[in-house]
Amino acid sequence: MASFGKTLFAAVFGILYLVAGIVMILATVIPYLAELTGPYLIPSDPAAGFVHCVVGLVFLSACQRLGEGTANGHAFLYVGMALALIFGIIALLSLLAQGTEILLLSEGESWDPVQLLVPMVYLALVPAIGLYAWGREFIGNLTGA
Amino acid sequence: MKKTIRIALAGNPNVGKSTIFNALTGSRQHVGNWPGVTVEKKSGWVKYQDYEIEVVDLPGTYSLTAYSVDEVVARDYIIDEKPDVVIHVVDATNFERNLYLTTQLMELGVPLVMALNMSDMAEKAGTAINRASMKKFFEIPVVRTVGSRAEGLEELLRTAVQEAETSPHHEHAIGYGDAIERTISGLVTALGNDPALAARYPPRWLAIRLLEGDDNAKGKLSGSPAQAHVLALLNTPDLAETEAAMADRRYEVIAALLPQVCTTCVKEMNSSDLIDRVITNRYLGIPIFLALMWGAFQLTFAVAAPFMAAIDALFGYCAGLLASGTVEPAWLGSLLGDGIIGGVGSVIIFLPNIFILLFILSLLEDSGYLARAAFVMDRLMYAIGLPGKSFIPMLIGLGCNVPAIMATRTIEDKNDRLITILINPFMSCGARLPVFVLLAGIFFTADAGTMVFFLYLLGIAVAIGSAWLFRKTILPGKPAPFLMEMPPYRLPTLATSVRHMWDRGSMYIRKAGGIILTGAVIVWFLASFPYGVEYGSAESYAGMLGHLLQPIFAPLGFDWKIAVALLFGFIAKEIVVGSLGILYGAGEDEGTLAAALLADPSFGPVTAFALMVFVLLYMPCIAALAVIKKETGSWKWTLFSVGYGITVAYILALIIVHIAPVIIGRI
Amino acid sequence: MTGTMPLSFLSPGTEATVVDVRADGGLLRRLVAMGIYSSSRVTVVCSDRGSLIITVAGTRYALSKGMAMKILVGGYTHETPEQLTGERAS
Repeated sequence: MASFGKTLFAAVFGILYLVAGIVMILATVIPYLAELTGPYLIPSDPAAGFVHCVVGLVFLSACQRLGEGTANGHAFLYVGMALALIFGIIALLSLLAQGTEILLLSEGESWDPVQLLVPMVYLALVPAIGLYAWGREFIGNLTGA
Repeated sequence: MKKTIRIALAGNPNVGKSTIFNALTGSRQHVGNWPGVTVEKKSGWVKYQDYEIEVVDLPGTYSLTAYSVDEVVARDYIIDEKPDVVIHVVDATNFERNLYLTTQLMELGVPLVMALNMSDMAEKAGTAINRASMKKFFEIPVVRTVGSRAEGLEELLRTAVQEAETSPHHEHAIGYGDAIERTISGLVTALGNDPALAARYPPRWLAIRLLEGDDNAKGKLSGSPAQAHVLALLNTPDLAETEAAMADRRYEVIAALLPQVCTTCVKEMNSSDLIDRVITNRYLGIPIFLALMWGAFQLTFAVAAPFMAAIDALFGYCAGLLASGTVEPAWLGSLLGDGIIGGVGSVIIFLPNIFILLFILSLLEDSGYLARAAFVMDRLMYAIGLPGKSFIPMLIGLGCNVPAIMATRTIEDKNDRLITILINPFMSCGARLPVFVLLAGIFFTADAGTMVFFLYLLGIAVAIGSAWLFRKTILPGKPAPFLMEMPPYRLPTLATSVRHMWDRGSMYIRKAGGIILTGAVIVWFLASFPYGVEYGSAESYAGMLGHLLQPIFAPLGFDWKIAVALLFGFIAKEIVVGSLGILYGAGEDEGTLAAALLADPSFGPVTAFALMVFVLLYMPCIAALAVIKKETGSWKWTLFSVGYGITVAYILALIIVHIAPVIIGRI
Repeated sequence: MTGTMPLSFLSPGTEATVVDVRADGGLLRRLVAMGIYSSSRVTVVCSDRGSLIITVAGTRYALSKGMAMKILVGGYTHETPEQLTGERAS
């Protein structure tokens, strides 16, 4: 039977990602909402919001299956963590590239490292650790690692 | 004494054949085409001791029947060219499946060496293959290799050379049972009546192929004196059963030998299978795919941006140098500055974009994910009349149409392939981006991003609509059912993905180097002469050409300058921007061009929109057309894609020009 | 369980033996060369409304529903839950 810890993990991050995603999508149509969440470092970006929702749903599926004890729970969890990590890296690289361009090539515009803190990046930190801690063997099983 | 030996690499797809080929030949390789067909031929050279060895990489095939062009090419090479030895590359982690091809290669009677590739992964999984037993039962020497680490290659070459030098052709016969063997003997005797045929094709092999209903083999009989007799012998009611019995027999042999040759060859459910449960899940499969696609494009545009800005600055600096009149004579300075830098610059600047996208696609492909994506999208693709396999070329088309159309080679069904090729040009390639970015940036400012995104969607929509239309009218039928091998998930190696990116991206560079440079010079020429005219004015040849074409484009609101730019866009779509720059007298400076366009009273947002749509759709550029002709082998379809593209572009642009003002007026 | 049914109706984790392949010509030969022929054992990895991913002779293939309907199987056994998870649940 899957551990309670993993089920809880999946539940928590499922909800976090899903909520972040929904907020990001809604913020594009409801300006009031955007002002509200801005300080919480949640930008309004419908496409990225969609991506957050997808990751959230994968985690929630993992949670459901782990709870039921059916076979695929672990798979959903590890894939969810891998997706979180992948998108975290994508967001980080994109923002760093943006920062580089501003710092090196445009004069006058300022760039603050705090711009790196978007949900796609900070929400991914813990799942990344989780992937290393719990999922190493699973990933190692892939032929060709 | 230097000797030349010819080696062919044969094997199933996905066994690492190309990796071994690259490791052996390094840079001494050449990619061309097999004559008469559109299959790629890779050959190269490697030196081993006193030998100069020519290595030919045959297409990956599951068997040597004639289900696809690949298989015919592979076996025709072995029969006609008679290489000195064939290296059969086998995936040690999938050993059993590979043996089917082994039995067929053995029947060809050519000296064989087996390269047991991916041995590292097999050993990790606990598979042990007894090479001594292989040699005993199959009479084939087996060499352990790990292509990705270039292990075992020396032994491989040594063994291959040894086999080439020493062993005569011996036919390892699989006995097919008395009844069938009698039939085979009869056929062999009949074939013997034509000595030329018998000398060209091993009689027993040909007999077996004929019994298995191989049409290509039957074709080899035409014109032979033995044909009538042979066909008579084949004309028995039990032929289908014979064919099935022979396949059964092959597998019987494999099954009997397998336990003695390989221990623990059985696979258990592993991580790849479990991951597939998530990736191909009926509800999450497509969303996951869309999310990853977003990631790919997001990363591409974001990371490319600093590079593009840097290149832009560099080109601007060079253009500035040339403009200050430091080059004599003046026309050379103009050629270099306005013509070449202006024309080619707008191409080079998008290289980072294209290469990064291709790199990411290569990563997705090498990790094994892309095959799953094709599977997940198959149901949707089927609904529009395309096979799931069409999906990957369409994706590549978003980078550049040229490698995308070449990637359709994996689609076996002729009609499926043709439709995929014909709709590919509607996928907005990297070349059209300069036009969109320029015009959207000028006329739609804040909404520019949305505009470009919309254009991409429009391209995809037109592609899908066209596929549906073709299925209903000119190319009816259903797409071939989806059947594709899913390689195991693996963490892609940087080197391999970079290599794949380079293979595809270098096609684009060659296009930039060759066609676009030539095109840019032609544009410059037409804009500069007759001698003495103002550069890019109405009096130049370019201007005259434009006025000639103007009536055609008048309904769309395009004036002669746009007409000329579109004409030059035929050479390569990137040139459209450069041409506009020249004709509006703005040269390389985008700021000046922007101002010039805005100042032109006949050029408003609606015109810009219509123009962008026209450029998106109007026809494949020369490079793409060349590939279409090569891959379809037919002028008819190539010209059709030109005509169809122009028609669709014209109609949609016309609709926009008439409807958009009405809608804007209402808002 | 006995009886013959198209491959597309099997659920994930089921192992079965191919009884008949209802294809002809080139398609049949391709399937045979890939290892899908009478008496071969196949295992279903994933299944979704008829389209499948299966393992045969150690190789993984994806098939659309149309393709899977052409392959008739019998003699199926279901995997045990332990075999399904592929790892010890912790």
